[in-house]
Amino acid sequence: MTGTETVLAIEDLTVDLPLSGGGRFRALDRVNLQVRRGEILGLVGESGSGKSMLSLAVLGLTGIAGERITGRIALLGEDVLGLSPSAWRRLRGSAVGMVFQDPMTGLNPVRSIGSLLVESVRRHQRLDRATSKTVALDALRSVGIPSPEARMKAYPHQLSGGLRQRVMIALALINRPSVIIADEPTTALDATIQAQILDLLRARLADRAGGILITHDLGVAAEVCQRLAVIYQGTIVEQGQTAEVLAWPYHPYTQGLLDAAPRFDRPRGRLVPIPGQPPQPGDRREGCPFRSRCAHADEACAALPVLAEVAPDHLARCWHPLRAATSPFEDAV
Amino acid sequence: MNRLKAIGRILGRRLGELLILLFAITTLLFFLLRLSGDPAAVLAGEQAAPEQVAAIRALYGLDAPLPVQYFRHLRNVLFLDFGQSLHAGRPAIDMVTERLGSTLMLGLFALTLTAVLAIPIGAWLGARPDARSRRVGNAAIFILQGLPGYIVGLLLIELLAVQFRLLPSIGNRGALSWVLPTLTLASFLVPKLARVVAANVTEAMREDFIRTARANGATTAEAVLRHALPNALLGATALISTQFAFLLSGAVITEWIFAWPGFGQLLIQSLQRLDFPVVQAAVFVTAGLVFAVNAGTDVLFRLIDPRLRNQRA
Ligand SMILES: Nc1ncnc2c1ncn2[C@@H]1O[C@H](COP(=O)(O)OP(=O)(O)O)[C@@H](O)[C@H]1O
Ligand SMILES: [Mg+2]
Repeated sequence: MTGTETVLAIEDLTVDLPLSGGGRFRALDRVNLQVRRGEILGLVGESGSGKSMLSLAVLGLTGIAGERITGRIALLGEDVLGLSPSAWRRLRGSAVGMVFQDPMTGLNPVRSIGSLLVESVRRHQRLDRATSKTVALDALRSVGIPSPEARMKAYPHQLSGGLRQRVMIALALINRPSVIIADEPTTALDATIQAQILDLLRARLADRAGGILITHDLGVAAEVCQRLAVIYQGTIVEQGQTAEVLAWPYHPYTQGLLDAAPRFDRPRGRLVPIPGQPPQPGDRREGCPFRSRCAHADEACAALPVLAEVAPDHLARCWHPLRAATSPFEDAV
Repeated sequence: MNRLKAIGRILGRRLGELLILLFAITTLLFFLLRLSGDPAAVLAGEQAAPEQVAAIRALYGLDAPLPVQYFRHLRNVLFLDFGQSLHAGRPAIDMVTERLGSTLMLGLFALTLTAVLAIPIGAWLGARPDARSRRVGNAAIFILQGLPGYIVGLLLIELLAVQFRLLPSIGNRGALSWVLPTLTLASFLVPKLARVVAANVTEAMREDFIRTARANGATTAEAVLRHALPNALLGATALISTQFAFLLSGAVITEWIFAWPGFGQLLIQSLQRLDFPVVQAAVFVTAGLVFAVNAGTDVLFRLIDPRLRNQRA
């Protein structure tokens, strides 16, 4: 919306993991996503749907023995899957920054906040120690941490959960990456702190970067994300403008998420599970992944539907969408 | 400062524990040694007439009732007076402290060598938990750990002192004679420490904060050295502390093998000669030392682990 430059383009990203009993499990199946500068894309889905896998794949940190990753991940136009490990490593923290879910375990307990920030600055920018310290102080200030000078010397355990998450965000932002991925950044926090952290992320991201906000909370997505992608069992099932997807969902799974959310205009809305169990890794997976739990499923669903444009800039992957497509062109994308 | 206060508290508590320990040890040793032999008889020698033994008994106050002797002994120990060596006729405590320096020096060299070898080996092994080199390293450590240290010492003597005549194997005659005892003593400790460091590094590498470091562009080496290792070393510090008593006993064996004029050699000789005052002084000093080291590591812990710094002792 804001910008036109695509900072992150994911094309046909597929991640196959080996199963302990032999065979393979497809954690991500031909995922296509674009993030433009200044935009926050929401990625929602139940736990186990592959959201964290997607973020780790973009960073090149999946690190699972025997994994097979195919497709294209373009960071600022550069295909990272084709890069050497060290070239990709240099992009971590500088081109793409990551905010993890749990700020309690995500910060090294024996390293001071300042030393973590300075280490990251000096790794990516040729700066002397004094200048790096100034940069670190600025970073702490920019994420709204009071008395940053004192916090530089603090250790993670001395800070509250909210402050630690701010430190995590400062760490992710300190080298001004163009892409930020936040994986359930507020799940571990109190409701009041959640709102503050979301405001902060929105403000920092609108600045100059683009980002993916991973959440299983539709309320959070509605509040922060311009666009929304709904993922089910490693497959994107619906995607479009957030307001539109939430107001006129086409996919039964999206509708199920909405029905399960208490009230999505409240940020604390938690998902009550949709009836049925998601398939387990190793289950036979053919056709629409949602069909075992879907009230509308029939023989047609034995084949995987294409992700089709059901309305302008609104895609859904369903043989029996909940409403008639408004687009004259039902192109596969 | 908060930190100093916490450290003061720990030291105070430790000092109390130390006093109780020293009292218990002094009492135990006094009665154990009295049960095991008659000091007057040892002093007088095997051919002594009963009158001579009686005279000696009177001279050293050994004719008083046992409780009286015990309280006299306690009072003397308070002033670090363990009596004269029955063998050398000099104050027992002096003989112990004279020997202490060279043993502590040996221990310090061995510990330093151990840290220099074991920390990199442990970090390297711990950072590659699945690789084949790790399995080979683990097997080597397992075998080394199973070898009694004195075997390593004897092998070193055979190889370096007897076969190739590179190094002196007996006594303390100049800088080179430190080499073999230090190597032997370190060979007790390197496998233990390396194993603990490796296990701790492996564990730390699975932590979320390592993923954070990597997400910020850390290389594997940086993740290991700057993020996992500092955490791993905290556990290793605890090990060094608990192994100090072991180090001293290792020193006793090592000194015996190398005829090293240290504290351990003195202890064994005094036991063989039934030289009670020296044994008492040596055990007393050992207990004090082990305790001092444990308390020292406790304090060190507070200094290096930020989570413990402000914790109440
Ligand atoms: N290290 C791993 N090894 C094997 N399977 C994994 C691993 N991490 C995640 N998975 C599997 O990948 C799928 C997606 O997991 P994840 O991305 O963590 O889900 P989400 O973040 O959406 O809750 C799950 O089925 C999970 O079991
Ligand atoms: Mg997750």
